[in-house]
Order: sequence, then structure tokens, then C-alpha cells
Amino acid sequence: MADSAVAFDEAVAAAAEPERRSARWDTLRRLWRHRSFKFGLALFAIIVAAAVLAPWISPVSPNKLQMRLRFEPPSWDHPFGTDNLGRSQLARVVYGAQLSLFIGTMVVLVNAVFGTLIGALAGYFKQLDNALMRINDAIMAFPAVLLAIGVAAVLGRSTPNMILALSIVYIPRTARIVRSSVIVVSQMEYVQAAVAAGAGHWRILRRHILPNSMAPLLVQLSFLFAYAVLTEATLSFLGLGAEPPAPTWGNIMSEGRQYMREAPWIITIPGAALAITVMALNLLGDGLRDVLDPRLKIQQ
Amino acid sequence: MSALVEVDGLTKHFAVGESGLLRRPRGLLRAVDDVSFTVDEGETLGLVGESGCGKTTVGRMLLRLIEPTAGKVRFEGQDLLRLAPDAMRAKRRHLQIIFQDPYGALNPRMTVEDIIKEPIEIHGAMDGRQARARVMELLSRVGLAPEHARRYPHEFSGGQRQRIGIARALALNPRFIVCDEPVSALDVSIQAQIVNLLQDLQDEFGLAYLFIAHDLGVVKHISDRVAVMYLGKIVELADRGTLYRQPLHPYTQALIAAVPEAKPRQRRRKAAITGEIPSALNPPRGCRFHTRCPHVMPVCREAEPPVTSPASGHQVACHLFPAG
Amino acid sequence: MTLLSVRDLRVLFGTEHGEIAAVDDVGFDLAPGEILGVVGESGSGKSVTALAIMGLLPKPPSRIGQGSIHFQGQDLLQLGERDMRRIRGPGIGMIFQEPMTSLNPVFTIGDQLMETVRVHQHSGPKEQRERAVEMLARVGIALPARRLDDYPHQLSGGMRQRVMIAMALICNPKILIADEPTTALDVTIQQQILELLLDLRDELGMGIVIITHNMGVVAEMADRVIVMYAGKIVERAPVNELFERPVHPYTRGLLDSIPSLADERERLKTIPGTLPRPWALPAGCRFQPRCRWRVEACASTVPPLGPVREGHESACLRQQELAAE
Repeated sequence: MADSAVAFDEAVAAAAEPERRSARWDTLRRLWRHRSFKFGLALFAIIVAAAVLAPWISPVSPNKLQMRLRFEPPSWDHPFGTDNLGRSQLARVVYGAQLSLFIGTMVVLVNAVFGTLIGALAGYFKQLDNALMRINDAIMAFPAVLLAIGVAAVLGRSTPNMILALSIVYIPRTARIVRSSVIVVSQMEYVQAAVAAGAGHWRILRRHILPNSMAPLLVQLSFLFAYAVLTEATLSFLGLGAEPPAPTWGNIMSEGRQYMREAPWIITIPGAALAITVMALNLLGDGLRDVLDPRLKIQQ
Repeated sequence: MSALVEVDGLTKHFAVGESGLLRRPRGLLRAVDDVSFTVDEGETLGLVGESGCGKTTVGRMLLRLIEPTAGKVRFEGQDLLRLAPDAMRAKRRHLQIIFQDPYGALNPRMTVEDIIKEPIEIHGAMDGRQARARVMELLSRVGLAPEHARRYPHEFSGGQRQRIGIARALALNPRFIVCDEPVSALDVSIQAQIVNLLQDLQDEFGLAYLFIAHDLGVVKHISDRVAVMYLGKIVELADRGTLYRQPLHPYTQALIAAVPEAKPRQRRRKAAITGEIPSALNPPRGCRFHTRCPHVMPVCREAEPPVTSPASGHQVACHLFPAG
Repeated sequence: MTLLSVRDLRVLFGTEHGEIAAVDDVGFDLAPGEILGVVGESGSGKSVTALAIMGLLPKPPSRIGQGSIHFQGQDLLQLGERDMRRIRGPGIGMIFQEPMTSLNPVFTIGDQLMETVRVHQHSGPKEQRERAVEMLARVGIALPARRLDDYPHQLSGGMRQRVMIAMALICNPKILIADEPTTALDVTIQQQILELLLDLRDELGMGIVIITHNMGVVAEMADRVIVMYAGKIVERAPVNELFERPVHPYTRGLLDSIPSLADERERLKTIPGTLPRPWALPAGCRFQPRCRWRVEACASTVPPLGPVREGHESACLRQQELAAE
């Protein structure tokens, strides 16, 4: 009886199939079902496409002066109008998108690398936590825009300096987020199991902690992209961004400010592009957060 | 015969409250206080107690997943707490752990094969093909199918995940496994399967277990000897028959009496002990159980009871059983 | 006289696997002063049944497919949310497994108790306070007047469950539904809470539905027992009858697999296999893939709940055979 009972147990256990379902596929499907994510993604895709296809969208150089065509309002020939020097606003806005998105992408990449590094070290090695986080807090104590202005003013105007300034401002924020999710994951029993199996720090971080701490980082980076684009525009607007005549949304708006009455399109169109980009990234980030990190949603 | 694991005076105090550069901890949590016991080769020692008694901390300290404040943990005569990090890592293949929560114990981003194979990789015990064969062997030994190797943990039920955790613990042929409430998160009809599996594996591989649980029924079933903890201390330790037939410590008696038995005709109405479990942050003076003890005497409020041995192999820490 | 009468209840949940029946054809009665034990594992539908009675199921994703829940002559399923709110509290009270999440952390327990009184009774602040103190004393909380100003996190798990019970009983409900009331508690505290529930039942005469996975708790508490598996009732009997002469293979398996303090058994008897997923229920009898008594017909016929003996029903095709063993 005992033997046949065991045989029966095993037969039934083997028959009990685990459910076939790929986690990754599941996540993608849920993202796809998320309305604001889809909308944000579509908007962002349009902006990216505009930036990438800039030479085809606007064959005219953004810096070509046509004094005859100053202050042309939007029309069939000049969809976004022209500015005080007769430059095509369409060209300036789509080439401006290139620069804005390039800066945003670089800031996101630098943040992903250094934010993760600092956050993981602080979260995992308790000895480093205090020191790293105090430095972090000191940087975070300054309002983001003021600090960026300060750093940009010291470094001087250039695109690489802009990326550096924005990275210095935002890395502490990213590091904090990575740190807290690393701390949470470090408490998980599978990390304990890895320690019990004799795994070293590097293996534990690489195989267990980091892959499971990435969701909040991803969410943060999508918001960060938006902040970076916005802060870059702010700095350019204040004359601390890329050197004119390089078209950035901030530069265009800064120049257009004087003609706001006569030629409102000069300032409003890049402003709208900026607003749409920021909104698209925020919607995208909201969707990512809802799907990847439901805990954050409850907290908010 | 010398014991496989000898624990002597094991103590863990946690500093409570934010401790930063300039702040001092606000209190000391005496999670485990001067705990001693042995586990023999092939034996199961049960460790029972209610929440906050420190049983999980004891289990983790044996494997140095938590560093003890004081005490000794000897494995085959060698004090693990004195080992350098590298030596300790090498030693870990002999000591393993099975966790309570089958959801938190498996890395969700690794396949079952990678999970079970990880200890083998870490210790460089086998080449790739051998390791794969070993994974298959372990899977079948714990009642899973070879094709499960490529799946992810979320595809499995709680009981199946616990089997995966057991396979991982077995991967390097350990001699001692800390089982930290391995069945309490499982459905009732699945618990017995896992208990039987653990017993079969013990018989087959000569494993020694420290079986931590709050369910006395399960502990009694699987253990050879049982230690009862209360607020960081072992209050009684005896072989399981003695402990359940003739419990000496009033807390053990109360614990056994409190288990609802599946026998409706033997209902009792009166609770065995009253009162809440005191906080381990501020444990009662003297005997820690005196606030709830039905036999409390003046001495209990003053002095900690010494550990005495009223019968061979039976230890108790209670003033009702004075030394000599 | 019955206090609560559930008939043919079917609760459906919309999921990504389509609509599934979490509770299928469940019915029972509860008399005043009676304790009904509902036993089952995860996915058995025991908690969903309780929430359906309370009108607390989130809709969507859930909906009531069919059935009725009569309480004092009214079908609760036909009532609107406003009317249901008048039933919860003075009619039916409920306590949950996790007392920490059921209490609001930002209000004192006194605020929460008095709020409950205020919603249902027209009384002044002084009477509300007196009532709150009285209830806390009644559930065995020492120095109740002082405890009123405590926040939930200042209390231990057992104390919080006592407060939850006080809140559920402060409006004198006719029925108390206790969903795993002691699962999160230590065994010595569990015993105190169970004793308290029995005392309150004797004193107040309310009917209690106690939902649990613990056969020991049922044996200690219940007068009659329902055993649920995968959304269906598989056996129903008075408590002594159920524990001494269980018929359904699932009930027998559950009872056999519990390690007892009294017995010396080398190997536990097990129920093989795993619990079915709600969206992949086996055809015919839902327990059939795990059943040692399975015959061919089990995979095609859904066994009805039918009498085995006086007052004892079971849903198994071979129950006459099993009962005669």
C-alpha cells in the first residue's frame, strides 16, 4: 500500500503542470494595454521621428537667414512661420528636437550608469551608505534648476557641459532610487540563499540584486528624460545652454521672447513641442510605473 | 559521539532605532540570549516558539547570514565564527537553508535550472554537463519533471516552489540544513507532501536538520528532539516523546495545550495562559515568562532561572526545577 | 429559525483567462447562536463567499452569477449600496485575518470605534465613548479607557484583533463573519481569541461564520462544518460527525494529513498533486485528479451534494461506498 501510494503521489505530482507564461511577454502585453503608456509612446515616437527625419522634413538649414521673409506667420510655405532673421521655424524646431533629445538621452545614459553604481554601492555595502548618501543629500539640497545654472555658469556654455551639469544635478536623485530598491531586494530570501550558497558580493549584486532592482530605475529614467529636456530648455532660455545660433528649444524661445506680441509663433511653437515631449515622457513613465512597480502607485 | 553542530552561548543583540554618524541607537533588542544546543549527525532538532522568540535569528546565525553578537557555532568541531570570509564561503557547501516563503526564496529572473545550479557554479564543483545532469537528478528527486528546468519560478505553485528551494539546498550534498518554517506558508494539503519529502531526503542522505516552526504538530512529527524558545531563550529541550508527554516548563505546557486539536469531542474552553507576549525590546526581569506564568513565584520576578537537567537529556530553565 | 440563508450562490470573476466561477453553487443556513465552520485551502472560495454576503466584492471584476442571500427576510443581493451599509454593522459584522491592515493607522482606536457607533446610532459623544470603553472591556482589553487614545501600531497583534472584534460587535450584529481570525496570531493568542468568540456567542447569541484552513480551529469552534474545494462545497456535516466519519475523499485527506500531537506516525498521509488553478478546473469532479478513489465517471460527471446520512451531505459519486467502509 505504501509503495503504491508513493507511486500515485509521484504520478500526480508530475501531471501537475506549472503554468506556461513568459514574464516578459506578460509585462509587454500589460504595457500595451495601458492607455496612457500607449499614448505617451506614440507622442514620443512622433517627436523622435521628427528629430531623426529633420533633414527631410525641412530641407532648409535652420541657420539660413532670409531677411526678406522676416516674421512670416505660419502658412503653407512656412508651416511654423519664420523668426526675426527670416529663419525657418520648422527647421529650427525639428533640429532643436535633435539637440534636446540628444542631451536627454546622454543624461539618461550617464544617470543609468553612475546612479546605479552609486545607489548599488550605498544600498549593498552598509559601510559606504552613510558617506555616499550624505554627499548625495548635500547635492540634492540645492534646487535642481539653481544647481544646474550654477554648474553651467562655472563650466561655460557647451553641449557636453550641459550634459555634465544635468548629470551632476540628477545622479543623486537616481542613486537614491536605486539605493532604496537595492535595500529592499537585499532583504529577499533569494539573496540570503545566494549568501548561504557561498556567493561573493559581485555575483550577488550582478545576478540577484541588480536585475531585480531595475524596475524603479526604468521608471525614474523615463521621468528623468523629461526633466533633462525641460531643464536644458530652461538653461538655454536663460542663455546658459548651447551657444547660439545652435537651435535649441530654449534658445528659440529666448530669442522669440522679445517678439512675443508681434510674432507669438516664435515662442509658442517650440514651447508646445517642449510641453508635448515632457507630457509624452510623463505618460510613458506613468505607464511603466503602473506595470513594473505597482507598489509606487499605491504610495502616491 | 561528537555532535555535528554545537552551539554555545549564542547571542544576538540588535541596535534598534536609526543609528547614524551622530546618533546612538535607542534600544537594544535582545533577539537571542545565550542559546546553546547540539545537533547530531542525521538528527532533526526542532526549534519552536511564537513570534519574536528569536528562532529565525538562531537559524540564520548558524549559517552566519546574521553575525552573532557573542557565542560559538562549531561545525564538525570547527568554530565557524572564527573563519575568514573565504574559508567560510568554502564551508557553506556543507550547511544549507530552506526558507519559509516559497515566493521570496527564488530569484524571479532566473530559470529553475540556473537557481538550482548556482551553488554548484559557485563552488566550481562540476563542469557544465555534469552540473546539468545534477540539476535533472535533483529535480526528479524532489518530484519535479526535467522539462521544468527551463521555467521561471512564477509559473509554479507554492508547493512546487518549495520543492525547487529544497533541490537548491541539496545541490552540493550538504550535511546540515536549517529548515526555517518550510511548510507554514503552504496549503494544508501540500504541507504533508513537503514534510514527507524532507524526511525521505534525510533518510537517504543522512542529513541533519534544524527544523524551525511555530506549528507544534509538524515539529513533533519530524523532530527527534525539540527545543522550545521564548523571548530569546531556550526554556526547555528534550526528546520529542518526553517533551510532549511530560513537558516541564509552564510555557511548554501552555504551548502544547493551546494547539487546537482536530478532535471536536475534546474541546476545552479555558485558555491555558493569558496575557500578551512581551516585547523583546524590554523583556521582563528575572524569568522572561513570569508575566504570563500560572505558577509564578516571587523568585521568578528577581532571578533568571538556571538551566537544570531533571532527567538525562531533558533540560529546563525554570525555578520550579532548581539545580541539585 | 434561520438567520442567514445562502442559496445556489455563484460568484464570477472576470480575469485575463476569461470569466471564472470562484464560488459555484454554494448554499447554507445559519441559525442564531450557531457557529458554522467553513474550511478550505486557497482558491476554495471561502473568503469570496464571505465577501459576497457582506456585499464587499469589488464589481467589476466580480459579479454574482446566480443565487440569493437572505438575511432576516431580505435578499441582500437585491439591495443597493445604501441599504447594504445599514446591514453592515448592526446586521452583519466582519473581522479579517490581518488586523493591522483593517485598522486605519492615522486614527486612534477610540476614534474608529466611536465612528462606527456614530454611523449607525443617534447618540452623543459621551454615550459613544462609553459604548467604546464598554466594548473594549468586553473583548478583554485591560484599562480600556486609556487604550482609546492608542493608535493601532501601539498594540500587539492579539490586541488589534480584539479591537477588530470590538468594532465588529459594537453595533450588536446578529451575525459575525470571521475570516481566518487567528491565522496571523501566535497559538497561545489564538486560543484566547477563540475563547473570546465563544464567550461572546454565548452572551450575545449571535450566529458566527468562521472561515479557516485550520481543522483544529473548526473542531474547537464549530457546530456544523462546510468543507469547500475549488469553489464548491464537497461536504457538510455536524462537527462530530465530520471529524469522526468523514466521507468525501478530500475531507478524509485533509484530516489524515495533519500531524497530530497525540499520534506517533512515521509518514504522513498526503493528498497528492496541487490545487487546481481557478481558470483550469478539471472536468467532472474538481478533486478527481488528486483522488485515490477516482473512477472513470468522475472525470465526466459533476457529483451533486447529496445526503449520506441524517444531516450529513457530501458531493462524491462513490459516497455510499465510502460511507459504508
